[in-house]
Amino acid sequence: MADNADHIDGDDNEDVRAQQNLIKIKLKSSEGGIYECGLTAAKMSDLVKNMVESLGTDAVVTTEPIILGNEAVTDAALKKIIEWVEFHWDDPPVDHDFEDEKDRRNEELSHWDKQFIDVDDQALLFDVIAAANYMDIKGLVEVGAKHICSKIRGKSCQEVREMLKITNDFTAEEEDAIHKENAWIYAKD
Amino acid sequence: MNPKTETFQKIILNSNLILKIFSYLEIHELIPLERVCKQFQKCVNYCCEQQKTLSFNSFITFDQNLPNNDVIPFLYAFPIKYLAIHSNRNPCLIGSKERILWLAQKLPNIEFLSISHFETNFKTLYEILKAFESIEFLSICGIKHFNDQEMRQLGQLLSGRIIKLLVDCHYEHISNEIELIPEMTRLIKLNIFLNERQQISVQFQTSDQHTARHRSSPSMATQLKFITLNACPPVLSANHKAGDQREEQKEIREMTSRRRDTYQLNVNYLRQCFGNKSNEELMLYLVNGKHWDELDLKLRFYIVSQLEQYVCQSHFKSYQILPFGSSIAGLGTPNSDLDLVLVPKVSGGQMSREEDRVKLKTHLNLIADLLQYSIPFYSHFSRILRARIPIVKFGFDLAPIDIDLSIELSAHSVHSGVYMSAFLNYCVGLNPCVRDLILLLRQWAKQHKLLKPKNWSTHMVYNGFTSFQLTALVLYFLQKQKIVPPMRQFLTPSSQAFIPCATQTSTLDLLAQFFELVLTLKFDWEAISILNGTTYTTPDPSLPIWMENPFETELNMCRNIQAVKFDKFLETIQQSLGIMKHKDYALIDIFDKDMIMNSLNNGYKPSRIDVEGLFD
Repeated sequence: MADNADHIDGDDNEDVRAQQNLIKIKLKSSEGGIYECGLTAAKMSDLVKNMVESLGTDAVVTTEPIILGNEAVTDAALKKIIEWVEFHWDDPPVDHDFEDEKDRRNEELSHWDKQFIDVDDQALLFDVIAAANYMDIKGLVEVGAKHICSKIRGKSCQEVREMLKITNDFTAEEEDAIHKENAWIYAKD
Repeated sequence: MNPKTETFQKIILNSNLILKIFSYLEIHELIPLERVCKQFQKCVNYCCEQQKTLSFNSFITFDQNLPNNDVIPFLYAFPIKYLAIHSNRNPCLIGSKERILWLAQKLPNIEFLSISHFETNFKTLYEILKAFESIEFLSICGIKHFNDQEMRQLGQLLSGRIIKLLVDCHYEHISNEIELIPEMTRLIKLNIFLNERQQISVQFQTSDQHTARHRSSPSMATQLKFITLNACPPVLSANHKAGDQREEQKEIREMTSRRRDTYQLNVNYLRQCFGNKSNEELMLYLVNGKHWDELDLKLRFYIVSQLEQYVCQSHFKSYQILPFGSSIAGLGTPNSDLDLVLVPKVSGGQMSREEDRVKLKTHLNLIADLLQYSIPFYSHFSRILRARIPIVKFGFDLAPIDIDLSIELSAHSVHSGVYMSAFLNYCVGLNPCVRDLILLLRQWAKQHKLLKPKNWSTHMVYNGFTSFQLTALVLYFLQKQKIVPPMRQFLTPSSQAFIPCATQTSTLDLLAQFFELVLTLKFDWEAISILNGTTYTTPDPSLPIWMENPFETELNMCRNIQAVKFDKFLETIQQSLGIMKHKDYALIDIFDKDMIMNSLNNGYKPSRIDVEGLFD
């Protein structure tokens, strides 16, 4: 990890991060909406971070908004994403030496994240996750993925299809064949 | 792709995202999803093909040697509830053969396989091991009733594939697992768990004979680079740490029983060992098995003196290093962190808080640099300077000890941890049940994931109990029982000396009483003070728990604890207490993670927390 080095001795960086977050940059969704976001917060997106670094901070601040062209980045999704990064920009970076990946995988989401991601509008939820994936915001993708996992865990295939609005593209015979093979491992049905 | 028509199809279209979502599910949760749609099937199969580790009923934790980039990081434990179970609660391979063979087909790239404590016959095991075609590392525990010839056959089967082998023989009295070793021509690493010195020599004699007469021996001798002999933690009898010097082979002895990991108890295994023994015996095992010996103490002393030599003879001449924390309090386990604080021998001038912090951080940085670059055997440095109490964390390479170092700049405010440890040490000395109760509770809490994991990322706020906070709660209970004095009496010795109540209550009864006390406390408006051994009106009723910090009485020691975790804590206590109230309960049940399930099977009726009662 290239960016590991700059958080080891944190203090100067923390101040810089806080100051930088006062600088606002503009992000433009694929639907054309333009939203302001703190620089440090926006840099949680590796996509934005790379752009800012290659263009130079000054250029980004003074010129045109950064265009996020992917169709998933709708106005509503971008607003959600900015809400998330503005809340989380202050998160201390993860120390890989001391982290136990297995624990992190199983760790529950924080209360704030749970409320944040539990949106009724499924289209928006998928947009947020897809957009976060496009913008390369690892933390938010994790939040979204864990949320979906918690919803599909232990559900039957039909329930999963209904929940995620997936059409079944197997023929009945194909489906039976799979089912016969591994019926013993199914949670339900 | 048309963005507007099918919004929902987006997630379906992007397999990359599906894989990311799937990465948080276990294999047995993924397989049923195969039937959802073709794309899911493809993604599930992809995950299955990537999976490299698999374990059945294994309780040995491996912290190294595991393949990288695994789908399920570290060891994927296949739940034994999907397997046929023999009447002795072990999985039965004969009954689950078809499932396992199917699994072997489903997960074609398993490199690391671990199987423990199972019932089988030779043919079944042979076929199963044959089915996992790509395994390179096999860990096997508890093969029994095979004759030497069958063992050699197994060895021949595995010989082309296995390069690392871990055999655990301490569990069965007869074991001829060693017979399969000479057959394995590609073996480069071998771990053997034993518990009797005698057994080792016997087994290595066999091994030597084979080496001498077997035709594949030359290649084995050159390829086999590591033999690890491990002494297991004492189970039923005292054991010896055994070592065997073989000159022609490089040999590394790991201290397996004292590894960095904080693996949980294998409840099934303990059930077998302690099936017909009393709860007291199990308690003694849990408490003493965890307690440290002289070696642990000496190691820590060595580290402190070495650090003091380096740090305090150069830049910090007027300072000394004081240890504190559980290792000093008499509550150490071989895994305990070593908490150190650098304090000045004479008091310096008063400084403002801000100056203080800056200086403190500079000093810590300096020390960390010094240790990191000029002193051998210390690594994994991590500087946590932003915390309320800035510390440097690092590891000692020669033994699995993590060290936390902080600094106190003025001698006036000698580190509260030092006093706290002294108080704890005093309490432990008052009555042996103090130590037993605290260690037992820590084990219990760890088992139910109520304690801060040891390798918790230092950058993240932990929102549950730390072991110190749990200990403080126990202290309050013991103060109520008049077994230990209020802390104030210890800090300012008064005329009225504390006379400890000569209690005859057993530790297990104390445990039940402790659970009861916690459930009756009204955390909504009672704050706990271990300084006075009393409760008082809580300063902030919105917090789930308030424990007065004995050194800064306006602060809450438990301010990190959030309601979610605290409720889980209360619920687990309720369930455990429900089990303990049962007339002839087995102590092991309260350590069982699936406690509720078991309590139902055995006829325990765990009652819900009486919420109304809490608000009366």
